[in-house]
Amino acid sequence: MNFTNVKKIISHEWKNIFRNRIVSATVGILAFALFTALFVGWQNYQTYEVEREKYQQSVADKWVNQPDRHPHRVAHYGYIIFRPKSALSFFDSGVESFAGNSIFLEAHKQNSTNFSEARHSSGLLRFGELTPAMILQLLVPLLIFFLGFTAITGERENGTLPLLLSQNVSWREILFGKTLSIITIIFSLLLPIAVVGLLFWFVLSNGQISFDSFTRILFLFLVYGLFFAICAGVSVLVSAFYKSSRSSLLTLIVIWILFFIIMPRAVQNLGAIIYETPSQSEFEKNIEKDISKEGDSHNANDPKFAEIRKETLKKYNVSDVKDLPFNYRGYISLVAEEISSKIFSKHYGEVLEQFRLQNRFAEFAGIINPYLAVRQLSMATAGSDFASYENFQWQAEEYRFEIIQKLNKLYVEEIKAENDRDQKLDSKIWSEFPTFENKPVSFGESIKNQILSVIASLVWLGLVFAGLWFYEPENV
Amino acid sequence: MNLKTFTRLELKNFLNGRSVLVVFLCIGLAVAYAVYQGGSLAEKQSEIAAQTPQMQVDHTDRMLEVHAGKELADFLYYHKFYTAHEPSDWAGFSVGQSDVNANNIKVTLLTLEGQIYNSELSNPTNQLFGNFDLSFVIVFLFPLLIIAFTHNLISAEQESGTWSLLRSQPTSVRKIFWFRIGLRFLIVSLTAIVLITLGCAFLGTAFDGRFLYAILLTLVYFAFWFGVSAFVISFGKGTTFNALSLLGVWIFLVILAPALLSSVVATTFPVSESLETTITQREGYHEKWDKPKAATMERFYKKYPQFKDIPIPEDKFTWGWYYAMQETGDFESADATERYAEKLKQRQNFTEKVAWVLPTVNTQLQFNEIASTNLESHLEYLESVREFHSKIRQTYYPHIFKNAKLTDVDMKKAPQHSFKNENESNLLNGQLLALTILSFVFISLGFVRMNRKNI
Repeated sequence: MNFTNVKKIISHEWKNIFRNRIVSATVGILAFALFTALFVGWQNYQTYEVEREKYQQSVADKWVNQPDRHPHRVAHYGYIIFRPKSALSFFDSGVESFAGNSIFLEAHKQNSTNFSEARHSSGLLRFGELTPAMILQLLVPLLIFFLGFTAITGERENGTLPLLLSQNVSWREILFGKTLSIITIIFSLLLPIAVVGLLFWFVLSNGQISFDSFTRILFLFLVYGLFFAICAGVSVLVSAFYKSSRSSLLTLIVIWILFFIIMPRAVQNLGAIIYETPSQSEFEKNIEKDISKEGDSHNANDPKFAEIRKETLKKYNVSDVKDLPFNYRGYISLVAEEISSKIFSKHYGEVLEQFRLQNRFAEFAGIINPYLAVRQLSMATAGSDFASYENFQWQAEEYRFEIIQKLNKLYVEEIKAENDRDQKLDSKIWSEFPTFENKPVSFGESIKNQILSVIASLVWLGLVFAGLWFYEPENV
Repeated sequence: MNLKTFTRLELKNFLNGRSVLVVFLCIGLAVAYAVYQGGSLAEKQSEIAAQTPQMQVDHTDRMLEVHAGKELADFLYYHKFYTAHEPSDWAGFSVGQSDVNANNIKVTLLTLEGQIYNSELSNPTNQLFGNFDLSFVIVFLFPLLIIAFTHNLISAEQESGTWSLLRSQPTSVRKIFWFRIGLRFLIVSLTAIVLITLGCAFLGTAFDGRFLYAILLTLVYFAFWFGVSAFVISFGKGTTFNALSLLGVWIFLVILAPALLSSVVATTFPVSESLETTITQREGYHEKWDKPKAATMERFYKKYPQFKDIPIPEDKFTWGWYYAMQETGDFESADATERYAEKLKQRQNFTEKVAWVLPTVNTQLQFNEIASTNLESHLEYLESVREFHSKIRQTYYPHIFKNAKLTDVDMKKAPQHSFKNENESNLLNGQLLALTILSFVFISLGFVRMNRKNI
């Protein structure tokens, strides 16, 4: 491949493309949409986080300021956590709006995460949300198609193609030249926007951007760069295939509608039909069945705890629970909580596994549809994907278990068996409880979850590269 | 040339294109798939609702076994009462918000506000990608079909050179143009009517007023898109210009504008009342443990004076006091709950107003309304759960205050909940009028411009 030829084609294409008024107008609209999306996305994130922090603080204050209380009362008073959004959710909100925002943690049972934004929506949300990711995933490819559909057919229609080929320029050079010109044009348009966006982000976050967020952003640049290169290559190849610009435009539009609009909806929910999950009622019933086999944690005399009683009595060499050096009722609470938490985790784990299988469907579809691969990769990188949601759910359960068991241990050790219910713990103990810190899925883990999407994107890049390298259309 | 021959020729010309057949085949397949997917989801919801009575019986039996010999009040701490939102006959037509909102809430006799907003076990990724149902095919895909069939009505003739031939005919080209647009409107509408009828037959939706309304809505929505297309064509530009402009309008109306709005709604009307309700109901109940019982009871007696004469000793735990405390959790969050409902109403109103100028949102929301899969329908279900909860309170409080044993009451005769809303009447509304006006505006604009440009 002769690079001077490629360069010539690129510089020629650059001059040509900006002569087209439609292209300039589209670019203008797109830039405007991107900035709007950045602004709106940021506003959304800020509004949510400000409210969340306010209410989270109020819950924390109320917890610390509790009066003297019996530990088991406090276990029922419980705690509420409000789910923090990922720092990059302003860029790609992923499943954030469909995931619950608050969860009530208490003894004996695991509540659902409630009040997702979607539940408050009149139905508008189902059209999608305006985020920079949405513009980059849906609309920029369309712009690339508009830039590319005349790439070869235009030369054909003008009769300049034979001229070019007779000047010792190979098909390979033409196809790469055209593709590279589209890529460089798109990059030169988007990079300034990205830089301004980054600056805004930096200023708005008061310069508090973690190294993690920064690497994620860099990776996003890579992902979208790759995606745009694939789109550019596809548009040039389609243009090379057809005789007329009209046909190539039509084909590219059909590809866009099929791959970007129809397929995502069709594929994801097919997974949901195939991999069935229990309804909330069934789910609770299954847990309830297992737990009722284990005994009622509020009733230390439940015959199902007889085995535990026998063992405990034997261990401490006493004949009655009253003679134990600790509170037996509290002890049963402690043991039963461990059992019920295990049962819940088992059932919930099974459901989440089904959800993961449902999602696998769309992930596999990414192999035939790079849009799906990039969409999932982008969500994962932004920390707003299913894995992040799942990660939060487990952390909430872990935290619940931690504080409830701490309370149960206090019950066992600090509350005497006699007159159990009338005793209280001193209120200063409440400030000795850990606070909830959401640990996001690490960047490496996010990518590992989406390894299929990474492979799909690379395979597509390889295919397009091979296409540009080997394709020699019969028509001139 | 008379009208009949012209129609025959035009039809022949239109249907001869191979691509037209492919397009029809595709839209047929899309409808078939939409019926499958929408139907599957609605069926799953129906199944859940159908299983609910049996699940209630099983649950009650299990609880009776586990908690045998207890006091009734103690038992009722554990016993759940099942409710279900049975999907309407039309739910499969437009899944709407029904996959997001809970449809089988269970409540115990405790504070209601802490239970009523419990959510479904659902995969947020499914909800994010959205559903491929009949309303999606009509709102998203049919406009593309309309654009494909109309964008080159004049430009194709101009570009193929038959335009001057057409102009030399005695009939004015304007008339021919409107005739061809009209014919395409008829063809697309007929296709849609046939496909929707078949789809509805497969879904088992009731052929009542809703069917007629859905058809009417679809036709007006199509008229809007034909109007937009005529308007764009009236600029007299080339095929590519028309195609790209119409695609641009489609992207704006289907993707950009609704997405922008949805983000604006989320920021302008943040529903923090939901978080507030969660906090206040919990505090409202729990703080009562640390307060004199008389104060709690006094508040409780305002609503239930009939229990006034039953003594609640200050130094002893009584179940009457316990449930009174639970209910005060509801009393104290009532204000936040009201503001929560108010906020949702504000969101709904705002969306409806904006829908006046966004035919896509307008049509989708109306389909959701027909199918009773909208927010309003969910709120009605929640209201029915509230009524049900107040009914079980009224049923069991007297027994609780009498310190009844579990054996004193037949739990199998507990009140039962059922809810289904079929939105059969009051369908005609301002939203349809708005859509009609908008369609009319674009058709007229196209008409006026054509006349002025003397095409």
